[in-house]
Amino acid sequence: MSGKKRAEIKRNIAGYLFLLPWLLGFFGFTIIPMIASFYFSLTDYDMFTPPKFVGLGNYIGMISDKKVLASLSVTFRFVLMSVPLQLAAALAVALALKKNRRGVRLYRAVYYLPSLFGGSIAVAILWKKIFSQEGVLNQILAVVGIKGINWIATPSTSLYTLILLAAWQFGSSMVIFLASLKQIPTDYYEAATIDGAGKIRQFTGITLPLLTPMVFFNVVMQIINAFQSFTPAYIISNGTGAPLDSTLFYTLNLYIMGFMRLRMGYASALAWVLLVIIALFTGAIFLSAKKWVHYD
Amino acid sequence: MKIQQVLATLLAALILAGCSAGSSGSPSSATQPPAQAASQAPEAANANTPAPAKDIEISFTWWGDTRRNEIYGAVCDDFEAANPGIKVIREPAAFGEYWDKLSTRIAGGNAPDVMGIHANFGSDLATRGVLADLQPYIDSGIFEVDGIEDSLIQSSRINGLLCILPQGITIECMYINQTLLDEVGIDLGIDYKNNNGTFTYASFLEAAKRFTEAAKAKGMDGVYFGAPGGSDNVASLQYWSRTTLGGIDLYKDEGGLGITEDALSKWFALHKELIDIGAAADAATSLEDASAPLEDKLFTRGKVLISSTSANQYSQYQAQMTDSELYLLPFPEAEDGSSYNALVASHFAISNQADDAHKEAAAKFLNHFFNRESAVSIFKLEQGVPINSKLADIVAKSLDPLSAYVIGFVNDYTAKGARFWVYPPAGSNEFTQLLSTAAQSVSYGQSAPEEAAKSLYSEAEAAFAKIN
Amino acid sequence: MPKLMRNAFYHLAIILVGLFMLYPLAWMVSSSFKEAPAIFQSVKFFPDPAILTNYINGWKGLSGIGFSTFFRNSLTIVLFIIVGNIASCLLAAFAFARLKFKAQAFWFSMMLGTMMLPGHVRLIPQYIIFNKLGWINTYFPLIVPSFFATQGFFIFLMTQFMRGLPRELDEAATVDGCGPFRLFTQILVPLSTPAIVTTSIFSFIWTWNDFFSQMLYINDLRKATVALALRMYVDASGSSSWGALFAMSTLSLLPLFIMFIVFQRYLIEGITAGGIKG
Repeated sequence: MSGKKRAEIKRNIAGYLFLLPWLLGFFGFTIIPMIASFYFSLTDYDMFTPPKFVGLGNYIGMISDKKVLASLSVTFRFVLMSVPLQLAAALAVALALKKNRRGVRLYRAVYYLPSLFGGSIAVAILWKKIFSQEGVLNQILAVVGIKGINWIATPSTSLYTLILLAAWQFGSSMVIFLASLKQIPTDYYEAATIDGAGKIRQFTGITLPLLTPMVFFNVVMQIINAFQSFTPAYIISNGTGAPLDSTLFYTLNLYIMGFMRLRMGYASALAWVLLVIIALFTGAIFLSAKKWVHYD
Repeated sequence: MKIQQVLATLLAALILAGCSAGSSGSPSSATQPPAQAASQAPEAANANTPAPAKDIEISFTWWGDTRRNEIYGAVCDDFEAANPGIKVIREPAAFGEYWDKLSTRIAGGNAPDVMGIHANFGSDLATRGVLADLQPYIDSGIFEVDGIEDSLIQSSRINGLLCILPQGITIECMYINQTLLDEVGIDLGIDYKNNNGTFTYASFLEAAKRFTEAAKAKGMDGVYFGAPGGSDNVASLQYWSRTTLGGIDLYKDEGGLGITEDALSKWFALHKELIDIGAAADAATSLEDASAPLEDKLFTRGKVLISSTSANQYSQYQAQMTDSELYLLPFPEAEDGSSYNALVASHFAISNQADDAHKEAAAKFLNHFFNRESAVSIFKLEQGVPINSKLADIVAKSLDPLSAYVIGFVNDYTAKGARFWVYPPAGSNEFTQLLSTAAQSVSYGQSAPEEAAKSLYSEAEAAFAKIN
Repeated sequence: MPKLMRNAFYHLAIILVGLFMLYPLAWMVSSSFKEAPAIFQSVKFFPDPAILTNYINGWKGLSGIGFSTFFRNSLTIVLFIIVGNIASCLLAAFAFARLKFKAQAFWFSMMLGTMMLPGHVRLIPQYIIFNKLGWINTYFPLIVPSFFATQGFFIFLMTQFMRGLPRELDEAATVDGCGPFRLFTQILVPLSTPAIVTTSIFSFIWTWNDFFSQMLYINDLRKATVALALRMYVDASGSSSWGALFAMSTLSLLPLFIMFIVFQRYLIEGITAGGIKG
């Protein structure tokens, strides 16, 4: 069967040709820093003197590190709350703004606006203006007769202001949903209407299943990003994780360890543990995908 | 159709951008900064002459605001005019990420030749051989020291090595809002208006009580007396330990903590009491205030009587608080009247990664920065009083009244025996982080002062032990 | 009549929630017309008096370098990165979504894996590589990687998009004697317009706002970008020009906003026009 074999070789060549730019980038720019950081994770490295090999010392040290435990708990709570909230908001708004009606283009832009800010200083100032003791939120509450607290600087509420910030910037997920909603051929709906299917049946029967590849994408990417979330906590807590470590995200702790306390080796070990955690989560989602993601 | 239009537009824009980028020499001249490309024309002309002056470029990085960038840029211009063979590549950075970038550059083998160094990081860099020894340049006369107090040079040594030099000195001190004090209507009985005297820690607490009661009686809500520095502030703790513990320094000379667990506990207790009696803002309010921009601080808004920062920020505060009369006063003194005021400074250092020629050019640059009247009169009080005292006197004559007040304050207390900081030992950054955690756990009421002190002490010991 | 009511309700709800989304922008724009002390101390939302000084001062730029330079620099980087990301990620995504080759799953998981390691611990080795290449203080460290599909996000995004396209297209094309290259250029790329537009929008915005890597690799103020310059207006250690910051932040949002308005047309109408006619 040499014909079949030739076809297979041809297929492999085509595949690797298309993959070539990525492969070059992978080996040229990505994998070397990753390997280097893995090596650092096995050393004492202060960035200024050569790393000293300590084997698994950094990893063992993490077990009894209170800050690691605190930051893990903060990060897990953040991921579990911000990801569903953000995706739900993004999907709801995308569905509401799907149809081309009068004004809808402007609405889409307005709802995307918060995402344009990124993690700029302006956002940090704004968030404080809203959630501080004399902020906008408390002024509104005062009208109803409730005396508010300083939401950002109170340990029990500070994380929620960051979750809200993440949810508020749902624009990218919304755009992805919008794009894939428009990918659904209109004749599907026409056919369904002829068959007498109502709006809800159309949504559960057509929209939702055809949207699953992008729901899957958004879930995976948001989880990967949320676990590594750094900027919101950095700009709002001034890079400290205050108050009382209630916004000490895992990567913020890692950053403080590496760049403020000059323990880059330990920080690298922290990073690799996070990679394993994220990989486990992502892997689980990929395994479950066979059950709920419909291609084509 | 549409995608093709989009791509065509993109491509056209790309080509346009590529052209303009090429002409400004951006991505195309990979290793040459445009400054160099621009200087190639005169250089080519020089090439005809038999012995062309060999141009040398030194890179110079500092942190600061837009105004400082302009001042330092002007100093660089002034230096280049006086030293035709040397160009200074200016690399200003915002303070927020200054340290991240600098450490990455040093680790990456691309350290700037001249760099601004914060006192907190000086030891961490000096003890790791990152900074060049400056003694040889003093010995060879490239860096002149005649105008500079020898004590300033000597106290800049870290473990005997002279590798950072202060470009400006200042005093970490307290600011008092006289207008607010008059409004509340009490008198503190201290002649701070004439740079004469200050609180003791005991009288501070007593005054705090008086002020708070008086303010309450007048129905002034949300007005605070303030604290002698933050409980999480290493500098404030340093003053307190020197003053109340009979001159004991926070750090031991050989590294490690110089004060006891019990002392830490008292420090936390002092601040807790200030909060409890309502003289200092509660934990959440002060945390927010600590990260608020200068324009938005409680002190700036006239809600706090006493705040603390370095003396050279006086003009900036006064500029924001046009309706208030502000005075500087030193941190509290000891019961016997002895004062432990210390000078603080920002520093410059030269990279050890530079070759000899660059190091020498960098030393010339520093010399110009510190010891030339033209440069110092541009610098004025930008990062404190210039350390060349002769030039500082000349500069003082041309200052506006606000800056003159600051320089008078610094000089008066320097004359009264303010010492230079003992440099925080390597590992002090770890202590800064640990202190902040412990201080918060007390102010938020999570731990009692004794508990927080206990865990802080053991964690600090462990951290220092790891380094030494 | 009920339809009119429904429509009114729809618009009302969207606008009400939209106000919440808009509030920060409104605050920033309003502040950009305020005098410095009023930005923080005035309780009024609207500027009184409204001044243009912040824009005039901000546009002058930093240390004699006009703000237009920063705009041009940012735009240059952005355009290169958009093209780089689209070209390289389309290729990789097509390989992952539509082709079959050895170790495909392995490389795909590698691609995902590279996104899971926090960037901070890669900074130093990355910096060393770019330093060895002599690329420090140039735009190469920012631009070149995008031509090699280093942003897994976009590969994954396009892969998911292509997987969502009907398989019958490939089969039909193969029957017609189409090889993978023609299948890619003539069918998959045109049909991926929404993904391409999405990639463009995100590349634009993320690059525009990507302060950290620009800060790390660009030393020279003349090469500074908008994100870098904006950071310079505010300094934790000294005085800040808040007015100029808000004025220039407002201006710097304009290209992003215009870009979004213009491109969403292609995003939303991408597939209905061309149609799946097979």
